[in-house]
Amino acid sequence: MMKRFVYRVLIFMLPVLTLLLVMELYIRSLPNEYTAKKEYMDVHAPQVETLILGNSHALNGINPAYMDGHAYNLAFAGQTLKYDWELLQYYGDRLVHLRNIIIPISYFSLYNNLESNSTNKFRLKYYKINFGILREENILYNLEMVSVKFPKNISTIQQHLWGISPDKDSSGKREAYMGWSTRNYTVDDIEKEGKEKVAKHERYIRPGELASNIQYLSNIISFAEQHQCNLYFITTPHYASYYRNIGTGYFTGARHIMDSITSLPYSIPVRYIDLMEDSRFTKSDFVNSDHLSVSGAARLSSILNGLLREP
Amino acid sequence: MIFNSLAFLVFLPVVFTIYWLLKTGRIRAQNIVLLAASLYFYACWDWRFLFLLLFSICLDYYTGIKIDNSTSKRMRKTWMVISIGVNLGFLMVFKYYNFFIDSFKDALAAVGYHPNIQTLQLILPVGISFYTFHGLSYILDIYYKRIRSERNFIDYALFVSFFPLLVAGPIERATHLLPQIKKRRQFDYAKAIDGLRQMLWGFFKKVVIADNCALYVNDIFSNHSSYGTVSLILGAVLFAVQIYCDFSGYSDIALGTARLFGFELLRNFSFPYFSRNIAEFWRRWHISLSSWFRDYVYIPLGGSKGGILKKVRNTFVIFLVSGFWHGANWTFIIWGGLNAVYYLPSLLLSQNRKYTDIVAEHTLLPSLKELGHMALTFTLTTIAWIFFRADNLSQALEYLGGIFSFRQSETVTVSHLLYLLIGLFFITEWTGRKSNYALEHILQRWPRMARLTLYYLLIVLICWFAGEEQEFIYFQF
Repeated sequence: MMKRFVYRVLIFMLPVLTLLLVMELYIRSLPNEYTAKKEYMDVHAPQVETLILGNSHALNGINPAYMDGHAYNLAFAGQTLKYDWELLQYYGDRLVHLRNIIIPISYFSLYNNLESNSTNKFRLKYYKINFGILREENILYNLEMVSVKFPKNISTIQQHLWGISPDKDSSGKREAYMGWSTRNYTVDDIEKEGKEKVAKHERYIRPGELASNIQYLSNIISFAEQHQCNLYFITTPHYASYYRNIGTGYFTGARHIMDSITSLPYSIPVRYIDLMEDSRFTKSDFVNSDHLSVSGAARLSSILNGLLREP
Repeated sequence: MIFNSLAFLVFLPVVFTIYWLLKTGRIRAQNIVLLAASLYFYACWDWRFLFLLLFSICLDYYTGIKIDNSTSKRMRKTWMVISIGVNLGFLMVFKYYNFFIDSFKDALAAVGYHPNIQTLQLILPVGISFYTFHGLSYILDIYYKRIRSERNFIDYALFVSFFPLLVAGPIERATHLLPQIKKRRQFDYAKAIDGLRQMLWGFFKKVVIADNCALYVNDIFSNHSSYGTVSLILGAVLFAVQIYCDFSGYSDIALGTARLFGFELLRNFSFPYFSRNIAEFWRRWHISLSSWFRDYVYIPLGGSKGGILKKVRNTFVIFLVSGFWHGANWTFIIWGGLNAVYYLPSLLLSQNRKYTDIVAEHTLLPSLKELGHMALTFTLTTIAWIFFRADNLSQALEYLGGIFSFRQSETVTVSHLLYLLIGLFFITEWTGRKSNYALEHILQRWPRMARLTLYYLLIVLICWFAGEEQEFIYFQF
C-alpha cells in the first residue's frame, strides 16, 4: 500500500517536477545583465579607468557615455556595499588602469543587507552563479523557479522565445550602454510614489547592519589606497516627494558617518558628494522619486565627470 | 519552518519515509521519529524557545503524574495550581506583560501620574498559546478524573508537540489524541490520499486566496484615511475572506499532514460563513478553541444554567477571555466583547441551539430567509473583524468612522482575477458544505481525469501565486 502510494504520488508529481526542472534549466541558460556585465568585465577589466558600483540609483543614474576615458557601470539593482566590495575583490588585480571608483550612498545603504531585502533577495544567486561569490546557502535563493515568482519566469521565457527582450532581468529597461541602463516608464503620481517608496525602503532598514557596512566601506577605501585610485561616494539626486518623507534619523546619521569617514586622512582622495536635494534636477530628470531618467542620468554623469576632472 | 515553505516540502517527505519505513507496529520507534521531527520543526523557528517548550512538557508530565498519584484532594489541587500557575505565568510574561504595564501606565497617566516602569523586549514564542492550552486541558482532565496521567514521556511529549498542530493548532485534547499516539498505526492508502488532497486545498486557500487578499487588506488598513466608504467596506470583507482562508487553510494542511501519519486531528472549521446566526458561527469557527473554552471555562462557570444575569456574565467572560487569548491588545478584547453582544440575543431567546444542521441540507440553494440570515451573520462578523485586524483601537474606530462617513474619496481597484477566484472558492465551499472540507466529497463523484485536471489546476494556481513566504496570521497568537 505504501509503495503504491509513493509510486502514484511520484507519477502524479513527475510532470510538475519535470516542467519546473526544464524551466529552471532554460532560464539559467538565458543571458541576463549579470552574465552580460561579467562577460564584458572579464575581457575589459584591464582597460577600465572609472568603475561605477552600487545599486539601481547608480545603475540608472550614472551613464559612462558622459564620462572621460574608459568608464564602466558595474552596478546592479539592490546591490549593497557588501557586494560592491566583493566585486572589487573579484576583479581586484585585473583593474590595472583603474583611476576612479564611484559608489552611491543611498539613505538606507549603511543599514541594509541584500539577504533581508525581500524585493531583491532573489538576486543573491546571480552573484553565486556568475561570479562565484558566496553566500546564500539556502537552496530557495539558488533556484530561479523558487526565488522568482512564477508569472515572472513565464514572462521571461515568453520574452525570450518571442524575441522581445533577451534580458531576463530587464524589469523595464530600455537602453543599455557600458553597463548603464534606464527604465522605460515614468510614474503617474510621483508625490504618492515617493511616500510609498520611502515606506518600502524603511522596511529594509536593519540598524544592526551599520557596523558591517562601515567595515565594507573601510575595505573599499583600503582597496582604493592599494590601487592608488580616487574614491567617490555619491548620494544621487532624489525627487522632493522622496527626501521630504525620509525620517531624519537614518539619513542624517548616514551623512554624518560619511562626512566623518571621508574627512580622515588617506593616501588618495576620498570624497563624499551629497546631491540628494540638488536643485539642478527637475521633475523631468526622474522616472520616479529615486531613479533618474535618461536626461537626469546625462546631467548627473556630466556633473560627476566635471568632478573627476578636478585635480 | 512554516507549511508554505520549500523547507517543509523537503522535510515532510523525509519524515514520512522514515516513519513508514519502520516496521508497522513499532509504535515507540515511530513516536520517537515524530517527536524528533516535531522538535526540529519547532527549532527551525528559534531553537532557544525549544527549552521553553520542553520545560512546559516536563512540568505537565510531572505534575500530571503527581495529581494522579495524590490521594488527598488538597494535594491534587496544589499540583494542579502549580502546573496551571507556571504555564499561565509563562504565557503572561511572554504575551501579556507589556500589555498590562502599558495599560497600567496609561491609566495612571490619565490621572496625571507618569511612572517610569520599563516594558520588556521579548519575542513571543511561536505557538505558546496553543501548546500551553494543550497542557492545561491535559492537567485539568486529570484533575477532574476524566483521564489517567500518561506515564510514557515520549508519548506525552508527542501529544503536546506533534508538528502539524504545534504552532497554530487545532488545540487537541488528551482524550482524543493520546489514544491515537498509543495505538498501532497502519498505513492507509485512502486516508493518505485524502490527506494530500486536504493539504492541497489548504495550500490553495492560503497561497492563492488569503495572500492575495492580504495585498489589498494591508494597503487599505494602512491608508484607511485616504480611502472612501466603498473601499473600506471592501477592505473589511477581504479581510474576512483572508483570515478564514489563512487559518482554515493552515488547519487543512495540519489535518492533511497528520492524516499522512495515520492521525485524525480535531476539526477546526466547518464552513463558518454559511452560518445563520452568531451562535452557529461560533460552533463552526475555530472549533477546537471554542470547545476548549466551553469545556474548561464556560461550563465550570455554570454555563447557560441559572438566571439571566449569570448567563450574560458567563457569555461575556468566555468571549472576552477568548478575545484576550488572541493577543495582548484592546482590539482583541473589543472583538470578543462585540461577539458576546452579538451572541446574547440568541442566548436570551433560547435560539443558541438552533441551526445545528447544515444549511439548505436537502436543496441546492438556500431559501431567501436563510440567505438573509447568512448575510446578516457575515456582516456582523465582518464588522467585528475590523477590530481584530486593526493595529489599535483608534485605527479601528477611524476605520469604522470612515465607512459610515459615506465619503467618496479614493477607490481601491481589486483585480478581476481575485474576484473570480473568491467567487469560485465560495461556490466550491457551498457545494462541499456537507463534507469535512470542500473538496472531500465533490471529487469522489468526479471521473479520474477530471479529478487529475483539478489537482493540476490547483497546483498551477499555487505555483503562480507563490512568492515570498507569508506567515500564517495565527502564528502571532
